[in-house]
Amino acid sequence: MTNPYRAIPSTIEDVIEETPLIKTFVVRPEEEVTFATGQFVEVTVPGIGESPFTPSSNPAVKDKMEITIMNAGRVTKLLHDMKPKVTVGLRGPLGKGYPLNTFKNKDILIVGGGVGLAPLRSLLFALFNEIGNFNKIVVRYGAKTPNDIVYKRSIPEWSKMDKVDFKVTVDRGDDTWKGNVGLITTVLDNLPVDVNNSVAIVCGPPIMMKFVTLKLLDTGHKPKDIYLSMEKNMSCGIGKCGHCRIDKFHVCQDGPVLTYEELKHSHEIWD
Amino acid sequence: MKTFFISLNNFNEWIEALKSDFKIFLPYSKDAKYIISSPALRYEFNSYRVSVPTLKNVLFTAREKVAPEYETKKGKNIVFGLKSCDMASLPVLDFIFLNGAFVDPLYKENRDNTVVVSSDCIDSLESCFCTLVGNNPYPEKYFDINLSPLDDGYLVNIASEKGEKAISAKLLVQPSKDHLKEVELNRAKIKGHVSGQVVKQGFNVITNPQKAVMDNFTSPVWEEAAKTCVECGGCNLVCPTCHCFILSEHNFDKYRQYDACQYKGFALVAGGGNPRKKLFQRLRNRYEKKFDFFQKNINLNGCTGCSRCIQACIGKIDMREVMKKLVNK
Repeated sequence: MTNPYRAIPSTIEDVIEETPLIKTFVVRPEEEVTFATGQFVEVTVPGIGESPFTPSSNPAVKDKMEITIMNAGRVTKLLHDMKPKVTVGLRGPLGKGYPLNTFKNKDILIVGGGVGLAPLRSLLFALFNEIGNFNKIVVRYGAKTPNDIVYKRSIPEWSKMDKVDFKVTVDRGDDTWKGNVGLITTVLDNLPVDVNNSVAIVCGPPIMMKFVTLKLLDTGHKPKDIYLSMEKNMSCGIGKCGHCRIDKFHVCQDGPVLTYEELKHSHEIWD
Repeated sequence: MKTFFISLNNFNEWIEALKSDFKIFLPYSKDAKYIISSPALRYEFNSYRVSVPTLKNVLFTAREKVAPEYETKKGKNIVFGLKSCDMASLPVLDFIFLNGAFVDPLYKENRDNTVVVSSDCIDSLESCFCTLVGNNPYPEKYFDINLSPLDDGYLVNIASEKGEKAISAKLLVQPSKDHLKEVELNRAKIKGHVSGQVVKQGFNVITNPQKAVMDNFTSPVWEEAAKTCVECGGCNLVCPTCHCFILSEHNFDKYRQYDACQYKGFALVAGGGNPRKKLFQRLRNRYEKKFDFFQKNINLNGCTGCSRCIQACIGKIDMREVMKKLVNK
């Protein structure tokens, strides 16, 4: 029987600074860890602890994985101090991936906030891998300031792709910022998607997900077509330890992505 | 299910014989507070459930190494003294540890290596409320072997191959009609006793615990009840179905140890988000988990009515009183 608690030693190959608070780590595990986009891994900082992250890289790349991490807590602070060649641990993949099969022949709306673009970047790569299967990909991404935008080098490239409509907004601009200024909800009106044949995938801080969901419902998106990343406190990652429970779900095992249809009657989902 | 009779002499012989193959957990007095494992002790039938341990403490211990290799407990266990409220914890623990995308390898090994011997209650504590949550004070399933006490021995129900292997057929005889009748009468008597007690205490108004909790999710009763909670986590520790744990990291060695949803940091995430910042939310969480989560997933209550949390609570919080107040709001 495989032991789901065992972490696979993995080497940090590169560290890319995205913003002052966010870094992308390129990690090569000793044993191949293949994942479906949307699944997550537990990253071990030896001797200190573990934290869950959804990889931000292309799931088609098998030998290494990129994980984009914000410096937000005890474990992530230590990760941010790590340099290439350091060993960490990986457990996973855990949870369920995005149901890409049900997304086929639909308009895909992706709404991200802050570091929430990380799992969505992996999703974008997975969609690009088979772009013929989807009608179009509309991305709306919000960050606090232009400095807080992740994947700055890639966004212009993605924006130029066929079938892709990518717009960025910031809460507060600066002297150089020529794009939209305003909360993410201000760029969700009159979206070029057919609400009757689309899915909306949302990932960001809870408060952002709450207001984006309300906005999407307002504009006619159906609860079953709204996918939310409910990332909670997760310790075991395999539905045993109880920390991430919402309603009847263990988010780690039944998610981490759940539809609003599944959660609409649940308590304490936005906190 | 196979039913036999065992005389008191043969029963004692059986216990002696087990000592060479098994680690035996025994109750050792009628009002035993504990089941302990000591070959020196004699088995004494316990009239109602013991205080500790619950079956959980044998299958899933307070702190154990789970990786890179899990700490294997060598040898087989046999646990006596378990009651219906202990047995009702088994399908709940099995659902958590054996179902889903990953089986917990250590729990599975402990489960496979443990023979579970339950017995009928013949008395109760004032706090017992198994009949309120859908159980009877005598085990009907989930055991390997169940004992029903008789004047001159026990009626033995064997429900599994594991149970069958643990007891020599030579010690068993067919039960007489009188034996069966006596057990039936005893069972009716204890069921009447426990359900009568629940009525006398006025808790029979709680006809549907799940509804009581979920229909009154925003009731002020929760805050009121939490006033005397000191967040010790005692209710979680003694509960036969509380399974929450935290996985700790020691240079790739992983240990899991009991955690408690009553602790403030239980659902805390990096950056400070916490869906249950307030104590009353955490108190309520325990009821939601027991009566809603498990009902929705396996159609069973996660509370078995054992009342250990009532006895353990230093703030005198009584699950029955809380739900009664919710219903009578």
